[in-house]
Amino acid sequence: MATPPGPDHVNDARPHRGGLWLAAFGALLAMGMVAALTIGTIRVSVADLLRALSGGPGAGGPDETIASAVLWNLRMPRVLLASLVGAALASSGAVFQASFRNPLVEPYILGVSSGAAFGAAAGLVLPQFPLSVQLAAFLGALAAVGIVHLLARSRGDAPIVTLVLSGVVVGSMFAAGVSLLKYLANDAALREIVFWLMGGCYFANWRDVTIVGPVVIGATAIMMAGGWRLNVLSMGDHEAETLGVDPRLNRRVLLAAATLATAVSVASVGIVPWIGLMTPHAVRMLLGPDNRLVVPGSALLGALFLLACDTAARSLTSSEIPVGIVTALAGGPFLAYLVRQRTAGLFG
Amino acid sequence: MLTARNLRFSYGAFPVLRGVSLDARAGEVSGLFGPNGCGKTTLFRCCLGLLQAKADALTVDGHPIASLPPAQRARLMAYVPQEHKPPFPLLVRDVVMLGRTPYLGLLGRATAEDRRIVGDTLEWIGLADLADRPYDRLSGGQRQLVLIARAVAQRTPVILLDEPASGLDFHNQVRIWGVLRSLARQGAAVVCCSHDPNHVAWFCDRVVVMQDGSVVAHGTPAEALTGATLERLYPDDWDLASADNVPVVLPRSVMAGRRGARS
Repeated sequence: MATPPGPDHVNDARPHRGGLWLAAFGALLAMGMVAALTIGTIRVSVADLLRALSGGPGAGGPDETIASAVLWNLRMPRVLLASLVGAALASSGAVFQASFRNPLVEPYILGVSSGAAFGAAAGLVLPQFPLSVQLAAFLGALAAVGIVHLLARSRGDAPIVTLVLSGVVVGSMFAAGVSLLKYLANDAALREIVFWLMGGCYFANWRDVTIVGPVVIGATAIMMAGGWRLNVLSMGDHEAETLGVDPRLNRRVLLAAATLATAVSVASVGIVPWIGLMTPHAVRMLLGPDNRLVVPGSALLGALFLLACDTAARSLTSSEIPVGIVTALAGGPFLAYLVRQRTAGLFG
Repeated sequence: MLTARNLRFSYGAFPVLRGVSLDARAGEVSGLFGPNGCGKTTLFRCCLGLLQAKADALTVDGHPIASLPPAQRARLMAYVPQEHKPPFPLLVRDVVMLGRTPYLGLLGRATAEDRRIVGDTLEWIGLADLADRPYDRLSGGQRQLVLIARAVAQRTPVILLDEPASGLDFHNQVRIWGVLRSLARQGAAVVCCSHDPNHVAWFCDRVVVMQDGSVVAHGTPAEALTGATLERLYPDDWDLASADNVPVVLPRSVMAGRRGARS
């Protein structure tokens, strides 16, 4: 029997469609991981991969093949790290854009990248610097964001415009600091700084994964849980409060999660541009602006995108290309393609 | 339902509200009327708990507003801002679902009941056909109706609206005031600010007239919108006519022109 048209036709079918998209992104990511594990100077077949996976790490003895060693010691941590960082940057970008109500915002807007760059450069240039480059970068990132928040604070609140302005100010101060350190650096250190600034997962190891993994997964879970509240916040603070969502508290929690995920990512792989800005836009064009879908969609697509870029960066030429160059080169045309494909639907 | 007694508020040293009282009752449309800049919007924000005002009493449904957490306030009072375009346009249905936020819990997971309420509300306001359109692609009047639908879906005993009919064409103005009248008929306390004396006179049960942060008159429109009140707000600019006993406020220049032409 046909359903009579009535209030029923207002029934909501979209969450299911959104869920399908997310499942598709997840499947693509899984396939991308398998592919990335097999690609590289040392060819590894899927059969080798399965054997190595079932054998566990460091099976050792005569059974230990080169393939297994390469997989367990080099590729697997690198694949995981690239995916984690991509997920962190992209979902943070979605959170920053929604809570700042501005589509041009990226997770570096509050000084994370310049602070991290300064910390890393200090660690590379100053021989007496006691911290590792990664820890220095992480502390630099947190210091920059902390200063931004202190500057922007007025009467217990940090208005968005003041936050962004303070971010610009502090960012340029730290950028000047990086320039100064570059100027002081010897040739070898200068080369390292430049490489670090362009981002890359060259030195990925299990220690990175065990540090970055829990932070990124925890922060991303917080951000995903905030999807609906981001929808409310994007209507503006007054309206959010009359809808029962405390705008200051929720923005603080969500931005803290996004900042932590970004800082730990940048500290471990350097400044990877473009993912945090582009991925949320790509996801919105595919799934619509509902942040319940945009945040997890960005995490999955960002992971896939950085994984693909990093795999290309290490396998396209005989030497490595900094992944930041690849993300910008590949991301620009991808977004342009989406904009052109969807323009009719978006603005028609 | 919503009561304010001797409410005062200043931005820094600049007093915006100097002792305003308001009493919005269930089943009535209460108008908050006054020229631009008289403090209507500030009064709204104080009533909604967005600004901390000093007052002898400020309660909604008997609860002091200042001590209610946002989630609880949002179950008692809904707010309809002037229509605007948010940066990330949700679908109409999702904008209305935002009104269910106080009932959805932390993750915003809507139940079948929430979806039914949203569907019914869209149907009732006459927006069902637009449910799956992006909010930013509607006309201004339609967007205003969507925001009203959001407040209706919030199922609160009090609804506050900030100039809901300003900037809309005649048809949409009539439509919006019709919606507000039927909300009051269903038992809501509707509070609506407006700078149009005719709208207040025609559509409100009760009116508070404000000027420079103070109440200059209140009561039924007939009691409050007298010649003396109009002269105080618009010296020498107003004239009062009547069409079948319905009062109409007109610019004096228009009336004078007509009288001149006739004589």
